[in-house]
Amino acid sequence: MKKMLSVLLAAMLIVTAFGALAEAPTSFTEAPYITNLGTYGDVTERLPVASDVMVEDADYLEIGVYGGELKTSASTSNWTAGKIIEEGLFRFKIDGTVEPNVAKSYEVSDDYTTYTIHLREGMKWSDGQPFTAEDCVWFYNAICLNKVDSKGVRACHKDANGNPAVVEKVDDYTFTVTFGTPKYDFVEAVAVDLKWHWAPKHIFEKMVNHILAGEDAEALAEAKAICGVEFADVGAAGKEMLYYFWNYPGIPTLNPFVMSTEAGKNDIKGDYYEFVRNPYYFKVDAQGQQLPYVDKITYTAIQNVDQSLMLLLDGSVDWQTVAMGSLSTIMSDANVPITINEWPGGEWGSVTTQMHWNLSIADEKLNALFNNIAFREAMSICVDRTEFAALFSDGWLEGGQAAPSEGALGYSEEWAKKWTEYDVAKAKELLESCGLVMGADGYYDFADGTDFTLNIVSVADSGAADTYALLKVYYDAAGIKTTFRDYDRSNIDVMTQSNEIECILYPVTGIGDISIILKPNSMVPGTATNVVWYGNMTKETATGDLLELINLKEKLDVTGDPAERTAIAEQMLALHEKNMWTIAYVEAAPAYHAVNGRVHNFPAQGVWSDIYRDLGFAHSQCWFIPVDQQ
Amino acid sequence: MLKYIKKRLLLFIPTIIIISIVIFFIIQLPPGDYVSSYVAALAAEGETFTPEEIAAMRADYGLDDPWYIQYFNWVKGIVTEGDFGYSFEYGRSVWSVIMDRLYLTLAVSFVILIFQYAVSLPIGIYCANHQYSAGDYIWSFIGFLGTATPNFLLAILMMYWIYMATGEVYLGLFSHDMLQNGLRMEYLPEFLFRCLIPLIVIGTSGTCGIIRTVRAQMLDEQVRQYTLTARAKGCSEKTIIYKYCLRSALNPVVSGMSGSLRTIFSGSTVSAIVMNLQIQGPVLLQALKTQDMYLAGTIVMIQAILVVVGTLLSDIALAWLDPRIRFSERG
Repeated sequence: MKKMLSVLLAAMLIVTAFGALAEAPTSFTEAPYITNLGTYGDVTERLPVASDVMVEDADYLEIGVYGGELKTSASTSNWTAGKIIEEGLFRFKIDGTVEPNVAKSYEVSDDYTTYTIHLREGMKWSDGQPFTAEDCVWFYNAICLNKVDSKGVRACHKDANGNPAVVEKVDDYTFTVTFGTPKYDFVEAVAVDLKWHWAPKHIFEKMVNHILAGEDAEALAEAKAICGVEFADVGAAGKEMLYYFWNYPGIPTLNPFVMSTEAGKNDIKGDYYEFVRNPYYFKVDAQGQQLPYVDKITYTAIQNVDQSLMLLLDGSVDWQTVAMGSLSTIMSDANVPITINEWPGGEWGSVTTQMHWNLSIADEKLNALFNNIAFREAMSICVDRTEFAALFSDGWLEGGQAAPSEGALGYSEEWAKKWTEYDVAKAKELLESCGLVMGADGYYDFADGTDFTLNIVSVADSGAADTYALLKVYYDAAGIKTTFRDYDRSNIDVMTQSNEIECILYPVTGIGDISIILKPNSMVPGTATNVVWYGNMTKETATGDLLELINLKEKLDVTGDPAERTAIAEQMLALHEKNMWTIAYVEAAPAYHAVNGRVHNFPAQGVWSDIYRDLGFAHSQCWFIPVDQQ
Repeated sequence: MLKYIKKRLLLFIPTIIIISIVIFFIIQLPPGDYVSSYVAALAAEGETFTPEEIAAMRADYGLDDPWYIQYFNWVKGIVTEGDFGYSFEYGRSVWSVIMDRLYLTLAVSFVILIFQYAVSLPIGIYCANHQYSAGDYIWSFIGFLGTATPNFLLAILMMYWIYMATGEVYLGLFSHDMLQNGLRMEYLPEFLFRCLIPLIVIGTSGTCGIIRTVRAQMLDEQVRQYTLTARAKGCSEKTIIYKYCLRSALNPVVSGMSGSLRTIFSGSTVSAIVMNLQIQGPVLLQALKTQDMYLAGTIVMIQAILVVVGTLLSDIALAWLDPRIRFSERG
């Protein structure tokens, strides 16, 4: 598993090379479901022009058959259905590079200030209307610049000075994005940050114009006419319909599946809903069959994730990302064949065992202690990782540290093993070097005699209480007095925002991601508001190596040369390795995707990261179910 | 009697006002608000928010006003427009969220209520008439078992047994096919089977209390002098038991029904979550967890109103049932 990232990289290079040699299909076929409806006409007319049709021909893909439905469970989350069907302007390949997706191609000026994006000629929205550069330009100028979708101008559209880009139409299938200063990572940033760069102008123009003119009642009436929902105010209408657009019926998209318009099947908050095939979807398989293969994805509401596991066991749910602890249940109790696909993620060590100290905590004594590297080392080496990992993971995982996985940028064996040697005596020496003194009760106190207690918090029902029970034995043996309390998830978030948390086990936002360049939020102070280890630290309050880390991030933002960018990223990671601002006790677990054996084309290899939209590499449009199992 | 009902109705108004204030105050007590839980949920899925966005959301939802202003605006909406506010979680009006699940909740709860009384009254009477017999012990044992076993555990066990026996998971009242194709006659057997699980799980929990109450009351009544007199005068046992003893024994059972209206409205919560029943209870729990305060506030307030109304109704029913109460009111 550890070497998977490197293997994937090599495999994908080979796949890409062979893929380039394959001949693109020139004639196209459609699903019998569409033919039988008899209302959509010739498939060739619905696809982009033949040379602009996108072919899904990755090496692992089998040629599929049409029909059937994919069944899964639903929560009321906005992203449940979105992530698995999302189509971006660009998309990540499994090796971490970016390729055009909805865009056909792009060019960038020599000074990295102007990007010219080419779209696919003849491409259509899911309602059959032409998709053109006008939809992309209008989206940015009318919606993003005016913050109609509540998000406004994304980071990918801002130059080094924070000024928004200028987006202009060249012709029906070309538009440009121009920055005031060089923007080296626009393509990657679009893929991470925004994904889409369009809205159906023919649907939304009237509504958005009403919103911009302050005509709220007219805007809300228009919103209701489009998707049938009565929103409380225009802010909600804009956010829901233009940002979470895939969740609402009647809004055309470019995705392989769109929300059903049938009553009883079209409410994301309801007990049941369906995403049905988009007859105008722009991708085909290697034989020219228009994708997707299955007719629909159906979602049934559940109230607890364990219910989804039960439904997986009897075949009522086709796929689910499951916890490590559920694997043995699946293996022993499933009534249908289920395949487990392990996808490595980007986290540094198992998040469940990550310990974050708030380096910007207001309490002076705690602040000094947490910022003392000797304290962090003591907390790391006072735990017997071999024993702990065996107990914690039932023997599935080994002891580890908060460090990048093998194959990822910044990995070094030294870092992965740093401070992992169990040594209680040394831990005590280190604690004493921090100024702590052993009290009469067998626990360390501050030098002034006041009690030192490490108050650890975590999220209720996360399993952290059990993890803490194991860790407490080691902490007690080292003379470190601890308390533990778990809170409801919303309380933890409020406490994080208000910088009240001293120390957290199993943080909501763990440190580490697949790339410090693409998503530094969990690794660089000041880039997010929900990371405990740096709390409310900013450039103004950071000192030493933390300040250096922030400075390097700023340097990265204005550096174009890829080799130089990698070098800066390596420097940033080296600072992490040197300081170990957070620790973990167990190696990172992969994401386990349990998939019903009837579903074909689920990739056995992938990478689990929000940068890649979690299941983004799964490409649900390519999944199919053999006819006899539909 | 009429004067009594009028007095009770007048007291109803200040009671509800006080209850609504207390409810709203308590819902506001935990740290954070809907926006913080909303941001937390989306942050877990990788979405990022700037502090400005979070502040703007709070302003949009009116969450930066003090709680009493928010309360006043909420009550004003209810009184002047019949508007119970907006559910942040569902993105629509509170009333429409409640109405979505009302009929199913009423149906499920009502059937369960009937099941409870239909099962426990005869058993209670039987146990009283056959005190210390084998049947008494067996029924009491089953009744106690039903009460002592947590509902959610019984639900999990039943689902497990059914899964092991049939290989199918029975979650919720409606199968995937029913949700997809609508309710058809061909689905009736499966639907009834699915109803059986919550009926047994939730129904058995309340039966023991009723059985024990009826049994104890019946035993008390059977040694009363009026019973002895009736027996001495040659009344049949049937008349003694059903016309005299049972009527008196039902007093505490009827007064205990005052809480049933509330239960019928919201249904069970924990068991409903375990069995994936789409009824009101889980909605309330989720609303409380995410601090979707107008939705939570409205549901709890309706429950409170139903308790007050239920108490009034049970008092009236008692007066009708028990001539002693009627006569003492007149006197």
